[in-house]
Amino acid sequence: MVEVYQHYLRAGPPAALLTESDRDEGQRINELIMRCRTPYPDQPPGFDRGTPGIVVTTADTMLNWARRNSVWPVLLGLACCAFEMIAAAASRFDLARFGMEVFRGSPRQADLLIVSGTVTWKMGEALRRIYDQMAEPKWVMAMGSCATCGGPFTNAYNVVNGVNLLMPVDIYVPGCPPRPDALIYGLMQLQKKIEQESLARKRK
Amino acid sequence: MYGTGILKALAVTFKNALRPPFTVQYPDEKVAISLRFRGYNFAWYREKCTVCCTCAKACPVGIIYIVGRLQPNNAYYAERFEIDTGRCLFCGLCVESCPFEAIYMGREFEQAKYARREEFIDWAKKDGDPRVPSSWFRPCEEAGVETHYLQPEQRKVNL
Repeated sequence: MVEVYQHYLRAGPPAALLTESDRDEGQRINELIMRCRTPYPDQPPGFDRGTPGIVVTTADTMLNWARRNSVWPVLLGLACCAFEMIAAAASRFDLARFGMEVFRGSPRQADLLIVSGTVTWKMGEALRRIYDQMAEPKWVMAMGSCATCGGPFTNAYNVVNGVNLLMPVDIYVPGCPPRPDALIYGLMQLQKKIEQESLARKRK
Repeated sequence: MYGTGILKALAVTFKNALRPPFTVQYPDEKVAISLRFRGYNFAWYREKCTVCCTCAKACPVGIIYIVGRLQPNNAYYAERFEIDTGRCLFCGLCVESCPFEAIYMGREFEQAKYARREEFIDWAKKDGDPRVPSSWFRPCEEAGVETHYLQPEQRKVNL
């Protein structure tokens, strides 16, 4: 048994244990790493806002009111920040007061992706797929230092250095992890951002 | 005797149903934060800082950027003091390591930003701004006791 373990340390898993799907996955992840080199630019509220007319402004007011009061997040927790997210959704810091209590199991029905925790490249592929599956309009929140910029794992080979390499991020919440209050404050800031959006311009 | 079990259980339910809710109405009402909370908005004092960079060396993630300049009176002047709170762990090691009590943790947590660059706090640019220092690692601060550290006026810089 010891010899087998030492062999693992020296030369990695024996070739017999590496299946075809493992090789495929490794290749896919390497391609993703090569593809995601430059971060998506940040978009502060009011970014590239046109001059909408009266009709568009009225429609904007109605739509933004509806959108910002029913931001449904995806049920996705990656690491320890997820516990603060759970605490924010539980009864002490009640997210239902903001209309955000419905954590959706399906990305098709969700508006907000809270990236709560360390994103490894292996998970990054799945995360990007979840983001692609979400219907417009959609928003992304980077929660905690790992999702913001890799945090303490910045120099690790397997960690995404900031989730903005994978998808455009709307709001960053610093903290390691942030308190539930800090997360709720971030969601309130996101609501303010949604308020300023307009039909006249294309998102992203 | 049947039914006692369910009555006991329902008693618990009704006891909790009559209890007042403990939800914190966050934006209006805030949770009491400890005086020693390790939060954002590090309070940094230019007059106490000697640009020894001990905080930058102690930082486990290396997010403190300091640029110093030597003044004619042989003291260093911090031209740039920046902390990237986006990567910060809020461990407080910079505060523990500071030999001159120049840096304190903050007591705020509401720091969500729309852009990555906005998460850098540059205290050297905000000299006159009010600071809310936390008494993390410096309990003298909350007790109002004088510290044993040398204050800037006690330090001899003209060598």
